Amino acid sequence: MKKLQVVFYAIVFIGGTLVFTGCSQGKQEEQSEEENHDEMMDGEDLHMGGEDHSGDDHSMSMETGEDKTWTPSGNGAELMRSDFHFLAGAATNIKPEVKNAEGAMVLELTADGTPTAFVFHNQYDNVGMIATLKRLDFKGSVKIIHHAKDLSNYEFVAIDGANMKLGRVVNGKEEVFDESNFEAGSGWMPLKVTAAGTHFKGYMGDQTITHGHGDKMEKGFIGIMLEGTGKVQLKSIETAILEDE
Amino acid sequence: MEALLPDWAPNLHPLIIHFPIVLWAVAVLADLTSLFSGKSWLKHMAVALYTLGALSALAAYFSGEQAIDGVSVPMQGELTAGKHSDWGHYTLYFFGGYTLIRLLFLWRKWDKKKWVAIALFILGTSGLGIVAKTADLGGKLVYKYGVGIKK
Repeated sequence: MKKLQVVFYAIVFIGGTLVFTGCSQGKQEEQSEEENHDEMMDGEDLHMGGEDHSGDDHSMSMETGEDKTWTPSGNGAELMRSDFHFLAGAATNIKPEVKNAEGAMVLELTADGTPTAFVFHNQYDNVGMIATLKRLDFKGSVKIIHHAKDLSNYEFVAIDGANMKLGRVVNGKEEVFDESNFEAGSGWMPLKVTAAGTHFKGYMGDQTITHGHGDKMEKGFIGIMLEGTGKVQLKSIETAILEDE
Repeated sequence: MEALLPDWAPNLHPLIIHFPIVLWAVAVLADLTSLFSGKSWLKHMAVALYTLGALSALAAYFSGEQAIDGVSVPMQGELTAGKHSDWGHYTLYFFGGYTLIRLLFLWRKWDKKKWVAIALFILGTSGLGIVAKTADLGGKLVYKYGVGIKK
């Protein structure tokens, strides 16, 4: 009889565990959807762009799980004003020009050495971004920044020559999560960064170059930072709000 | 090690991960059976299976660490990849600790008491939930996001 009781309680326990796991997973999904909705609403409030550029979607307002690709068009200075705002430096420090290069419109930036950071108007939490860029005669560091608040608080993946660095700046103090070299060509480079919870990765194309971990930061802006001199061309910026499981 | 891989396999991880899952599931069954049959060989078998499961989980952990930077993860799959990695860590820590406790209790014969045996069984069964969550996230990475399906 006692043995039967043990079997009964064991079955009840296993069943209860399974039911509990199922319920908490459902609740987590609901919560995640609510958070994502809040994120989208915040993003809409912060949207400052006012001009429409020849059919390209420059608003960058997105829903969770959605990817959007920004491509340049129109006048360089106007484009910078409508689609981005500066966390450091100004348009005069990078002289933005929209040009036709190899059959595609590109945004050419000529950096004068002043650290310059321009970001989209929306703020994101878990995010991925691919900037397809080409360094012409640029000497210095090109960074994709995310979770950015200001020049003293942001996360980044940076390339300088053939070196990639992944890290964050908190209250002006830089912390490097990972650093590694990659094969740097002279052509277009798809520089990719993903910030998924406490996991951060820097890719060149499909190849993982850097992978690090850190505390989750509050949502912030995403964009590009140039620290150096010379020309950089930007063909596109693909952005995705990462889908929670 | 890479040379031993079948040419379709992207890395060792998918070949290893099924060992801890099955070993722990059978260990829980052996524990349950030993509870109502009272046969000590079943309890010894459960502890042996938990130990083998923990060792194979260690192999799964190292192969996973190596695999994650070698495969292409689409952006939308990154959160799942991160959570799979986190839950993989929890699984290893849980069963590493649990196995040490089981070995200690077996050695000191503390698990001869019925209530201790039941408590240990309940703890082991809860661990299966952690394994299930890790496996679910891993399956999602492969079947939803197509991670590691091509070499």
